[in-house]
Amino acid sequence: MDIDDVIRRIGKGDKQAFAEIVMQYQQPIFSFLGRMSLSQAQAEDIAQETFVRAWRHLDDYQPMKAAFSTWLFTIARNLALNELTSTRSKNEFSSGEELPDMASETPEPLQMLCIKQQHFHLQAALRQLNMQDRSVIGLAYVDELSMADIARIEGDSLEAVKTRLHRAKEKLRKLMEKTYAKP
Amino acid sequence: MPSHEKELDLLLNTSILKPPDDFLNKVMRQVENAPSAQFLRQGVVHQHIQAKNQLKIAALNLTKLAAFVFGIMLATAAV
Repeated sequence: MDIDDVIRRIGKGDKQAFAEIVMQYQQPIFSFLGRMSLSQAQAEDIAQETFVRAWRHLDDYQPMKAAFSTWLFTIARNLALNELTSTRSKNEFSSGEELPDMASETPEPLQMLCIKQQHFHLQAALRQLNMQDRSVIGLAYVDELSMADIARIEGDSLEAVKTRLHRAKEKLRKLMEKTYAKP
Repeated sequence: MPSHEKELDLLLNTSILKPPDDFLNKVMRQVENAPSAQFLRQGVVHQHIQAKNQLKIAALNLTKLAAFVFGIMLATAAV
């Protein structure tokens, strides 16, 4: 997708061109919000708000400063952090809560169960990380973003973000080990 | 246990959430009803894109110029 072309068409009054942006970025944004350990319902609200804000403030986007994906994920990240701050104590998964559906292709039932269990442990571990750690991990797995883009979104230097990511992943790995070690 | 880095990467890369089937329609309905963005009236983004393109062209010209100068220097050195 040529984002410059899409924006040019929107500028000429073609509102439907915005659908191309939504189609391109909806799954990456949901995936990011999942890594921020938001629920499906929260992710739907945040993702929707992200796109609507992008639409309303498209005039704030400056291609010379940053890529469109960087700008869009900055909106998503800020909304996600606000959501996590306001519902910090409310949105924990209870142990009996049903696991969400997977977005990828459907594997065999046993394999599916195993992956669901792993994701359940992953979500539990992610929730034990602070929001800044979650944010940097969440962004690090967005294909559309480079480390330099993530540094810009996080408002940090490239080196600082690399260090933060390394430490956050190390914390997450240890938390996962601890979760699995529990009987 | 996905404690190894590659396994953890794989797990983090597998999305647990997905947009509902009607997500695009929901967003587009809101967009249709949303007040027109300011850029629609002022062409601000269009100006930004034009400026970016001009910068790209300038950078390309500079590269060409540098290559040309380098070529002359090489030719002079050879003589």
